[in-house]
Amino acid sequence: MMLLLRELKIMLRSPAGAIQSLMFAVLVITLFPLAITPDPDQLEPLGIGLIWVVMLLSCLLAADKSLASDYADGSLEQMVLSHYPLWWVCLVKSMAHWVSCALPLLLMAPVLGAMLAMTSENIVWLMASLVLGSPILSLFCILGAMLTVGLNQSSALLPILIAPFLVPTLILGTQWATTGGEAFYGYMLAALLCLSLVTLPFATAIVAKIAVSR
Amino acid sequence: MWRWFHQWGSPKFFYHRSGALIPVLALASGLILGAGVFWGLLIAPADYQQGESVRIMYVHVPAAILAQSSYAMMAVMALISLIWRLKIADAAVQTVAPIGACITLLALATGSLWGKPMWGTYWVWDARLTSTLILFFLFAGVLALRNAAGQSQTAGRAASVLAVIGLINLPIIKYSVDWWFTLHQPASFTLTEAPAMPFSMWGPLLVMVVGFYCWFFLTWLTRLRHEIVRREVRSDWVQQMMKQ
Amino acid sequence: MLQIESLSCFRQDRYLFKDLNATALPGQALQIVGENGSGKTTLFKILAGLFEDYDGRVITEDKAAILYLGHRYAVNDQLTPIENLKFLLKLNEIQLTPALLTAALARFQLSAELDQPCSALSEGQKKRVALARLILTSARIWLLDEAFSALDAPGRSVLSEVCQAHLASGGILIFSSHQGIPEFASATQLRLKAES
Repeated sequence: MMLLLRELKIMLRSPAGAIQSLMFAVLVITLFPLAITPDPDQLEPLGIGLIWVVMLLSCLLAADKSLASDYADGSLEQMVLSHYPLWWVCLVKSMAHWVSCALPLLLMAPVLGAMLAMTSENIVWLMASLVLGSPILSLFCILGAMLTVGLNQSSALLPILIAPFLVPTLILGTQWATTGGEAFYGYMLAALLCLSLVTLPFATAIVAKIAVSR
Repeated sequence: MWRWFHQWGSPKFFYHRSGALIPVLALASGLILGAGVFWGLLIAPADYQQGESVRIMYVHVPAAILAQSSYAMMAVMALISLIWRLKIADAAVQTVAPIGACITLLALATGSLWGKPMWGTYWVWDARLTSTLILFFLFAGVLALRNAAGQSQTAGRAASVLAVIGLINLPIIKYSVDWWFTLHQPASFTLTEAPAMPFSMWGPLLVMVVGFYCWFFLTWLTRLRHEIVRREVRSDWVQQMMKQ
Repeated sequence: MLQIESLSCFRQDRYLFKDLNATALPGQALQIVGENGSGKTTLFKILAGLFEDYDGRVITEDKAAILYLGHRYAVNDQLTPIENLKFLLKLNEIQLTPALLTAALARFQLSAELDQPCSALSEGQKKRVALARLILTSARIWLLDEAFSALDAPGRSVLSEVCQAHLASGGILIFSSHQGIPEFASATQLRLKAES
C-alpha cells in the first residue's frame, strides 16, 4: 500500500506524463478524420478500433518513463533489495502506469468517441472493453519497461518488444465492443486479464533482478 | 545420463565433438535439398487449379514450419540458459535468432509471392500470413534486445526471458489471430482445406522439409561453433588450437 | 559476520578480480581499495546480492540484515526529504514517527528544507537525506560505496561518527572511499587491481 501511495504522490506532483499521454491520444484521434474522411458514416465503424489502437500506443509510449527515473536514481535497486516481494512491487508499478496513462484516456473515451461519430451504445461497450483490457496492456508495458530500462534507445525498443503480445488483447477487446457485448468475448477477455494478473508480475520480477544487475 | 548432458555444456567438449557433425550435415542437406528441389520443382505434377505456381509451396511450407519450430528451439535454449546458466545455451540463442528471423522472412516472402497467383494480391490478411508476420516481430524483438543490451551476460538473460515469454504467448497469439480471421473472413475467398495430396506432391514436400531442417542445423551449428571460439578466445584450448 | 571466499568475477571480457578472500567480524571495518574501473561497485553489488554471476562464495549469517548504499542513493526528486526517508526505511519494515525522522535529518544538518521536494536540494543535501537512513536502520552489515564523497567536512564527520557508533554496537562496515578517512585509517584493506 505504501508503495502505491508513493507512486501516486510522485505522479500527482509531476502530472506532465499523464497530460502528455492524453494530448497524444486526442491528437492522433484528430489526425484520423483529417487523413481519411470527415464523413460520420465512414468513421463510425472504425471508431472502436481506432480508439483501442490509440490506447495501445499511448500505453507503450508512456511505459518506459515510469521505470526510468527509479532506475536512474537507484530506487529500483533498493526496491529489489527490500523485504517487499518483488512481484508486488511490479504489480504496483503496473497499477501506477494504468492510473497515469490508461485511466485518463478511459475517462476521455466518450469525448473521443464523439469525435469519431460513434453511437452512445458503442461508446459504452468500448469503455467496458477498455476497463477489462487496459490493465492487461499496462501489465505488459511494465514488463517491457523492465526489459529495456537503462538501455540506450529504450523508448523506441519497448514497442517493438511488447506490441506482438498485445495483439490478443486488442483482438478480444475490439471484438467484444464491436459485437455489443457478446458474452463469450467478455469471458475470454476477463480470463486473459486474470492470467496476466497472475503471471506477468512474477515475470517482471525476474526481469527486475536482471535489470538491477546491469 | 545427466552427466552425459552436462558434458555437452562445456564449450571445449561441444566444440570438439560437434566438429564431426558438420560434414555429415553438409552432405545430408546438400543431397536432400538437391533431391527435393529436383523432385518438387521439376518432376512433381502441377496443381490442376493453380498450375505451376503451386511449386512455391515446396519452399513456403518448409520455411513456415521451420520458422515456428526454430522459435520454439530458441525459446527452449533460452530456458536452459536461464535455469542452468549454461553459456553455451546462451550462445545457441544468440546464433539461432538471426537464422530464425531470416527463415520467417523467407516464409513471408514466398507466402506473399504465392498469394498473387492464388488470390490475386501480394498480401492478404489471412490467419497464417498474419501469424507469421507476428512471429517475425517476435524474432525481431529478441534480436533488437540483444543488440541494444550489448554483449554482457545480463543482456543475454534479458533476451532469453523475452524469448521464453514469447513462446508462452505464441499459442495465445496464434489462437486469437486464427479466431479473428474466421470472424472477419471476407466472403470473396474461402480458405479451403487442402485436398488430400497425392504422394507425388507430399513426397517432395517431405523431402524439402527434411532438407530444410538439415540445412538449418548445419547453419546453426557452424555459427554456434564460431561463437564459442569467439567467446572462449582467451582460454587455453582455443589458444592452442589457433597455434596449430 | 561476512566472509568472502575465493571470489572471482569475469565481466565484459576480463577478470575484475580473482580469488578474493576476506573476513569481517562484528565490530570490524573493511575498506575496498582500488582505482576507477577496478570492479569495486561490482564487488559491492555481489555482497549486496544484486549481482549473481560470480565464482566463489559470500557467506553471511543473515542475508536480510544488509544495508546497501550505492553510487545512486535512491532519493526521488518529487518527494520531500521526510517522505524519501520514510519510504527507504519502510522498504525494510521500519516504521518511525515523524519526530524521529526529523531528528535523523537534523543530525545531518538538514532542518530547514524539509517541506520542499528534493529537486530543490543540492547534490550534497540529497546525499545526506539518503545517509540519514543509517541512523535509524537496524541492519547489521553496512555496504557503503563512496558514501563519503560529495559531502563537506561537517557531513563527513557526522557520517564517520555514525559509522563508528555502528561498529561499537557490533555491526560490520564495508566501505570504499577515494579520500582517506582518518578515523578508519586502521581498517583492514581489500585491494582490487585493475587488470592491465
